[in-house]
Parts: sequence; C-alpha cells; structure tokens
Amino acid sequence: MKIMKSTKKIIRLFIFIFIFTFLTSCSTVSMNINRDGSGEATILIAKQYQDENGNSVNVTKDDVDNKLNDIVLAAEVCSGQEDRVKIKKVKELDDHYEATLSFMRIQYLSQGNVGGDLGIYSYKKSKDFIMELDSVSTIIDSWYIGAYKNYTKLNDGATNSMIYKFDNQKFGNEDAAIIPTLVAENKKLSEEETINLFSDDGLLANDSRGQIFTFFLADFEGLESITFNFKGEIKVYGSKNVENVTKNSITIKPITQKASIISSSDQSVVKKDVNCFVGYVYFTLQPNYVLIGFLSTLGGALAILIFIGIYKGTFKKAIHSKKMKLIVNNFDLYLMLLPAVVMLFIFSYIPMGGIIIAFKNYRVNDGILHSEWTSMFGFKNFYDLFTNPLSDFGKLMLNTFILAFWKFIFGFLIAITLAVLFNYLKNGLFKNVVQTVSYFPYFISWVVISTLSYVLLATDGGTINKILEVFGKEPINFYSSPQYWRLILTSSAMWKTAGYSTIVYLAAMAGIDRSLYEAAKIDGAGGFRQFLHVTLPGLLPAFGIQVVFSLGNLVRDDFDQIYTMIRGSAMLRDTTDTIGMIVYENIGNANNYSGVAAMSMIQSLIALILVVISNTILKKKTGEGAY
Amino acid sequence: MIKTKGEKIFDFFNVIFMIIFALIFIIPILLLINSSFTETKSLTLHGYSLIIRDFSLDYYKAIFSMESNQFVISILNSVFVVVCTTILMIITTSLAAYALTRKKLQFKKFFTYFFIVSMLFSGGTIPYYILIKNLGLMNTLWALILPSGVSAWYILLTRKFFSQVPEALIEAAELDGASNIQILFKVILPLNLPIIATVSLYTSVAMWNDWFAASLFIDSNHYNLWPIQAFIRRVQDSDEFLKAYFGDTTLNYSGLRSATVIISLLPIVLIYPLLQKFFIKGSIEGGVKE
Repeated sequence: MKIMKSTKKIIRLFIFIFIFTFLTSCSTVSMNINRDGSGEATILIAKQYQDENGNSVNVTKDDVDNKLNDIVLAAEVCSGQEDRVKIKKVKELDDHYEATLSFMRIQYLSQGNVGGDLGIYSYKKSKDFIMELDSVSTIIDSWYIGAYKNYTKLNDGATNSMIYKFDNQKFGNEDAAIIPTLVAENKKLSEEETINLFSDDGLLANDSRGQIFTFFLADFEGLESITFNFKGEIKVYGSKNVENVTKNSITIKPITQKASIISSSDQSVVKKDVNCFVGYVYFTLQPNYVLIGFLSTLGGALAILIFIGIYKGTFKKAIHSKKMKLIVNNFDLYLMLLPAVVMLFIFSYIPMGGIIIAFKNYRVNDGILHSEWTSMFGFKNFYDLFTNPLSDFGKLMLNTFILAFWKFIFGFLIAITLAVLFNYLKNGLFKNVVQTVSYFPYFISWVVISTLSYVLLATDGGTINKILEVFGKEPINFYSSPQYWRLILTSSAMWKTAGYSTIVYLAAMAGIDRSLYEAAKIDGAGGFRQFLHVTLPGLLPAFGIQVVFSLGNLVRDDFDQIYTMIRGSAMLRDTTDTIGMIVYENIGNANNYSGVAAMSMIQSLIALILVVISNTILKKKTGEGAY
Repeated sequence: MIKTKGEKIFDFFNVIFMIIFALIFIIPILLLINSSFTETKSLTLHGYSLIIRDFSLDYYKAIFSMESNQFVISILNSVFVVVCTTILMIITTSLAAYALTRKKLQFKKFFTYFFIVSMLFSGGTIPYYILIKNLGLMNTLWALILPSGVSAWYILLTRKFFSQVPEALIEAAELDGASNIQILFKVILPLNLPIIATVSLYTSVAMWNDWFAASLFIDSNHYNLWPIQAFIRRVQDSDEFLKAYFGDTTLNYSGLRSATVIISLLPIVLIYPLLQKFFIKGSIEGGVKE
C-alpha cells in the first residue's frame, strides 16, 4: 500500500487541523466569556467584630475558609452543580481578610432553587428582566418578607440547610422599596426616570447587550463589604449601601436585619441580627477587544496579501494559469469528490473538532462552543483522570490494554499457524469446507455471538456446565465470575476472526516463489526448516502491514463485543470495564461528557501514535507503509 | 512429489486438527439451530443438544404471528437501512475514487490526506453523539444511514482498482467526447464490478450486523424504528421484553431466542457464496483492515 509517501506530512496536517480547531474555538469562546455572567467578587472580612450583644469576636483564617466554602457549597446546591463559584485566594491583611471569589454563569443559581422564594441570585438579559418584571417585583418584595436558604457542611459531610426568615418589611429604618434607590452615573434616579427605565421602550428593554444581576447574600459575620467586578460597564445599580467604585465594579456594605434562622437538621429556630446584601446591577457588556484585535489583524493581513496579489498580478496569472484552466475544465471531477468530502467532513471532522469538550466543562445548555474551559489551561479533566481515584482510569486503561494485547498476540499466532496449516492441506473439498466454515463467523454480529456464547456459558443448562456436571464438577457461574472474562472475550474474538485473518497470509504464501522451496530442498532442508527459512520470511511484508493495523487497535476496545457478551452483568466490571464501556454508559449523562471525552481522546491519541510510529518503522524496513 | 513418512504423519494430524477446528465453528451454531427446532417440553427437559429430539416449528410460527409484528418491522427497518447505505456507499465511493485516479485533478494530495486523516483519528463517541443530536437525526433511521454512507477506506481501496484500468482506454473515451461521469459508468465501472460488489457486500453485512448506532441514536420509545440486531439484543437481554412481545407464551424462551437469531443469520447465509467469492480479493488487496 503506497497511498501516502510520508508520515511526517500526516503529522504536519494534524498539527494544522488542531491549531485551526483550537484557534476557532478559542476565539468563539473568548467572545462568549463576556456573555456568560462571569466576574469576580472581593469580600472584606474584619478580623474582629462586635456581635449583637456587644462582645467582640475574633475571626480566624479557618472561620473565613469555612464561610467561603459554605458559599461555594450553596452555589453548587442551588444550581444543581451547574454553577461555578470558586475561591481564588484569601489574603490576610492588617485588620481584615480579603477573599477573592470568581463566579461564572450565575444564571443557573436561581434555577436550581428549592421552594422558589428562597435566596435570590439571578442573571439575565435586561429584556427578559422586563418581561418578568412582575414576577421580579414579587421576588424583590420577598427579600423583606421572604426567606433565604443557606447551606453549611456538617462534620459528617452531610449538608445542612438553614432557612433565614426575614419578618420585617423594611431594611433597617429605611424605606423598603428598591426601585426608587436606583442610581445611574452616581445620580439618584427620580421615580419618573426609573419608570421610564423599566418601561417597554425604555433603556433596559432596548439594550440587547444589557444584563441584570440581582443578588442577595445573608449572614456573613464580620463582613465589611463586597466588591463585584463585572465584565462590562455598569449603567444602573439599585440597593442600599451601594457605591459605584469604577466603571465596572460596585461595592456594597451590609445592612443589619432581624431574621429567624431555621435549621433543617433539628428544626431549631434562632432569632438574631444578620448582615444582608441585597440589590441589583444593570450593566452593558463590552465588546471583546482582544478578539476584535485578533480578527482585524487577521483581516488586515489578508487584505494586504490580496492587495499585493492584485498589484503584482499574481491573481491574473493564477486565473489564467494552466492549473486554473485544468481546474475549470475538469470541474466535474471536484463535483464527484464533493459527496464523499462533505459527508466525511460532517461525520468525521466535525466530531474531531468536538474533542475540545475534553478541555471544557460541557453543559447541555451551553453547547460545545459555549461551555467554559476548565482550569489548568483546559487540562483539568485530564489531570482529574490521573489523580482522582474515582475515575478509575488506571483500571480502565489496564483492562483495555490487557484485552487488546491478548487479542493482538493470539490473533497473530493463530492466524499464521492456521494459514500455514491450511497451506499444507491438499486442495479439494475438505479444504474448501474447512475454510468456508472458518470464515463464516467473521460475518456474524456480536449480538448473535453473545447468544452463541450464552448457549455455552449459561449456568443453568449451558454446554460447558453440562460437561462439568458429567465430570462431577461444580457448575461455574460465568456471568458473575470476572476472572474468566479476559479468556472468554479473547477466545470469542478469535472464534470470530481466526479463519478470516488467514486470508492475507494465504495470499502471501501463494505469492512465494516455488523455486525457493526447491532450492531449500536441494540444500537438504526439511519441512520445518523450509517453513522457517522460506515461508516465514515470505510472510513478513504482509505481517508488517497487519501489525500496523492491529497496533491502532491495541488501545481501542471492541466495546460492542464486551457490551453484548456480558449481557448487562454488573459483577464482571473488574475485568470487563474498558474505556469504551464507560463512554457508552455515560452517553445519557451529559454532565460527564467532558471527563469521558478526555478518556477517549487519550485512547485515540495513543492509537494514533502507535500507528504512526509502527508505520514509519515499516516503511524504513520494507520501503512501503500501510498508509 | 513423493512424501516422506514424516510428512505423511504431519498431514494426518493436520487433517485431524482441521476437523476439530471446523467443529469448533460448527458446534455452537448447530446447538442454536437445533434448539430453535426442538419442541418446547423437550427443549426445557434436555436443554441445548446436538440432535433434534422432537422437531417443531412453533418458535418460528410464534415469531411471525406476533401481535405487534415487531420482528417483521425490525427486518424491514434493517432492509431499508442496508439498501440505502449500500447505494449511498457505492455512489460516494465510486465517484470519489474515480476523481482521485484522474491525473487532471489538482490538489490530489490534499484530498488523499483528507481521506487518510479521517481514518487515522476520530473524535470519539461523545462528540459524534452530540453532532447527531444537533443535526436533529435522533430517532430517525438516517442517523444510521448517513454516517455509514461513506468510507475513506473503501474510497482508497477502490481507487487502487480503478487506477489499474489502462490509461489508453480512458483517453480513447475522452477522444470520443465522453464526460467524466460517462467514462466512470461506461468504462471504469464495468471493468471493476468485483470491487464494487465487494464494497457493497461488506457494507450490507456491516449494516445488517450493526446494533451500536441504533442503540445510541434510537431510544426505547421508538422501538418501531429498531433494526433487527437492536431487537434481537433486547430479546436476548431481558425476559420482560420477551414477555412484552410474545404475550403469555408457553414456549421455551431459549427456543424463541434461538429462532430469532437463526432468522437474522439467514440473509448472511444466503449471500455467503457471493461474500466468499469477493471478500478474498478485496481483503487481500486492502491488506485486510479490521
């Protein structure tokens, strides 16, 4: 096979495709980062504060860490793990702690909320906010009379939810209504201005890049202030104790509020003053200057190239060139290639690009392109595979590899042995029958083979157990004994492919020059020596190509074989769980897609590397590669 | 040639070995066939056996008199998938392979790499699944047909055969004013029917045997779209499913299962002579790709 002259070129093409995919997806994503509601919050916590009884309380670093972890936990629980609030760093200053949290996709927080009128964060387009204004006002009302749920982790790892009930209609002594306290450009808005702002043709409704972030935090003792940084310009904010600090950040100071706190674990009720933060921010997203810069540089470079081309007449030359004429005159050739190219592009290349989900936290709602990148420059999923014992990646790799290795070794041994034995059979009916019978299983589906193997392996009435019974042995329950399955899977694979795999070697043997055998005979070589010195060397080229093909399969698992043959038995997992099996099992579980895709990507990459390396070696040795 | 004593002994043992070897393939299938023809009580009593004790066609009758006709529907689904995929495959393969053999094709290397790379690397099941979902092909038979209707491997294999057609023949046709399509259909294809037959047969068998795509893309609420292998797999796996389809049957479940499997094997047995005739040539030329 000499389809391809150089392996290097494949690699180069690959690198190109990968860079291309990454660049395109990166730019889409960086464009998107501004839309997904990500930002940062800096929280200042006093080292010492006065509690309601006037006693001063010291806050330790551990207290801060615990409290921050509770916030992260609450975000996780509220959003059904869709949201990501992360602690970036906690700094200890002279008289307070400064904690930085990053948040992403706040929009999911309110969705997962239990009970509906519990704690509020919401993040939506201003248009949607207007549409839901009625419901939002009830939510805003509920900030005073409603409840907010907080979560803490108990010592045994369970989650305890605390419900904060606010009985007062007012915050402190001030007027409770939120809307009149709107501030824009550091100016308090009048009632009329506010109504205009929220009306159907007002500023909020017509700003397609506008976002509304509503927030409500409760009970963070000793908390001095929170600073929110958004990726956009803040137009309007409304709350008590809010200050516009910069164009895209606000600082909020807490309001003390009386609340009853009900613990979900023991239903105990504690009444006390808690610190609350409440309000909302309306801001307009800013364009992504990095992306704009990147694209315009690219466009500019292209324009310059085109200009130079026109100026120098390169295009004229190209259009009138022989090559161009050939292309135009034989346009139908390209049309003939079109169906195959288009279909392969869709069903083969697009999924290749889809591999970027291995570097992301895939979420169905966000889609492949809009899901966010993982930390560690996108390699977090891979890091988790190797470090998180729950992923079982080591076991999966080992199972995959052992199975493939057995099949690889026995596949070759059996194929070559059989081919040689076939070759020694006299041509005639007997040889034909044996070959016909042994090729047949290759065309049987794994579903059918799983039935055949069940006939043999069944505990009750299976042929093997019947034979064991004759010899007075205990029956073996194969479908609950993992230790047999490497053998069963290997031998059934051999059963399916043994006959068929001899074809190549039979052909290679038919191609061996008969005179070589005659010469060996004259030299006094017996049957075995002839085999060793003539037959085997004659099989080498065919063998080489087969090795290249099989190496690619060395880390790929015949998952359809395993899946059908184990018949859903969960007790065989120790030896039958391979990467392909896990991928298949998770197909209905979109939250795991990224981790699973990372697994199969490692698998594909190892296969690719093995094929390329073995093909290069093959080419060096024989002058011809498999590809 | 006169054989030495050692060679004769070798031949003898070789024949014995081959008989045992052939039996390894025959026995499991025989057990299955026999169980599908054994009367229920006898099958329950004796289990799988190498002889048929009480001949009966009950299981086959039960399968074809099923109330929902699910078995027949599944077969028809499979036939539809097989026919569509094979036709699509022949079209894409022969067109692309022909174009790749023409000297006048520019960027030939690019196209060749394009095909090779798609063979060497794949995105994996998850991105593929998301793609099919996004294309809106879930729960349609097109999810099984379209992705299988093209194969880079067959295109490159077919190209090898096409390029063996003497250039003079094509040049003569070109002088007569034949277009590329005409050359393909009137010159190239008639000379290369074996490889086209090989590709079609392989595709047909692969599609007939496939259950994976169906299990991914057709959920259990759309079982009327299931191809035959998906149906058989469910029948094998769960007694409940079997009950759902055969009602309160008194027939032996193993017998019913065997019968469904035997029927699904029939088409393969029928085209097996053709397969044997063509696959050897195809696989030798291709170096046999799994």
